[in-house]
Amino acid sequence: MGATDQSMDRLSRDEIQCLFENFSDADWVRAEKSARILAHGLIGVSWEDILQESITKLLLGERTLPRHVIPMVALQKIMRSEASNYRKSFRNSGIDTTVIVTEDELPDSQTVIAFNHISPERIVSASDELNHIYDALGNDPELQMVAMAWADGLKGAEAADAAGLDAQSYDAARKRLGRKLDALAVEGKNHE
Amino acid sequence: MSNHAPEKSSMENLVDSYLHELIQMPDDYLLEGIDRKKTASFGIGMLQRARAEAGRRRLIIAKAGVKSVTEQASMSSRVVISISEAQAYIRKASNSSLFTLAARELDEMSDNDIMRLYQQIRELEAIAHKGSKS
Repeated sequence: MGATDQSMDRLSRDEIQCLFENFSDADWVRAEKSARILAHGLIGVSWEDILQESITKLLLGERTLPRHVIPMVALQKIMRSEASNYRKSFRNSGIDTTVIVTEDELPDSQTVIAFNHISPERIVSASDELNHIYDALGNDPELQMVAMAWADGLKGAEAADAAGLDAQSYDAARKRLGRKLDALAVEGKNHE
Repeated sequence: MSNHAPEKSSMENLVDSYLHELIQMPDDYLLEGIDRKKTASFGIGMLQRARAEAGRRRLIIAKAGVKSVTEQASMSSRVVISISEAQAYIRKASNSSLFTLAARELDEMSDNDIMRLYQQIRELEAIAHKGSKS
């Protein structure tokens, strides 16, 4: 496939800009919620940073948006990749930010410069995090069932089946679970 | 050889499913209890900031490009010549009234010194040439 064919498969920068200009309120809510959950556990890098960086790279052409992919799905993938890059950068940075340095421990007449502006993620194992979520859903068995189905990689009707819920109950449950996850993402941020 | 992607953790699965459900959820579900004005201005602000940042980075890249071209031009003005050619040029220059060269045998100079001297002479010539024009 030639370069021209390839470029035809992706949205141009103007089209990308136009796409974001025409984002509906619901699209921005989707983008925000997606960014919040993907940035969960990162310190010093907010969900807004992840979202802004992803849009910036799309506008710069450093990231592309294939025509055949739903734009929100592509944006989520880019944000996931950005969040992952921040995590990797932190792992490779060798900075231990869990160490608290008091003022009198700092050497005199020296300016302390953060040589890596990418902040470290909080190291929480995935299973700890999952248990934390299950605990938070303790009083709502429906939500726990849906969360477990999602953790097994199930989505939509399959997840509803696995949780033993009809379509209507599943709709209501996923909405409640979404709110819980949003709240946990915010709570994680406040603890940083 | 296996091309399978690494298996995802349960937490990653849960996030994946949530992201998927966010796409599937009807707009009115998502907008329930949301301050629409605030959301709209957030979107405008986010796009503005991303656009400004993209512009800033483009400028940095453009400046770096100009600098690189200038450096390349400067490098190419430093003509690559052999040591013997440089020596011959210096000998010729030593007969010019423009330069006072130390009475030192060129053959005793190191290659680096010869090249440095050659470069200095070329630069002085360029300055003298420029001065004679103005």
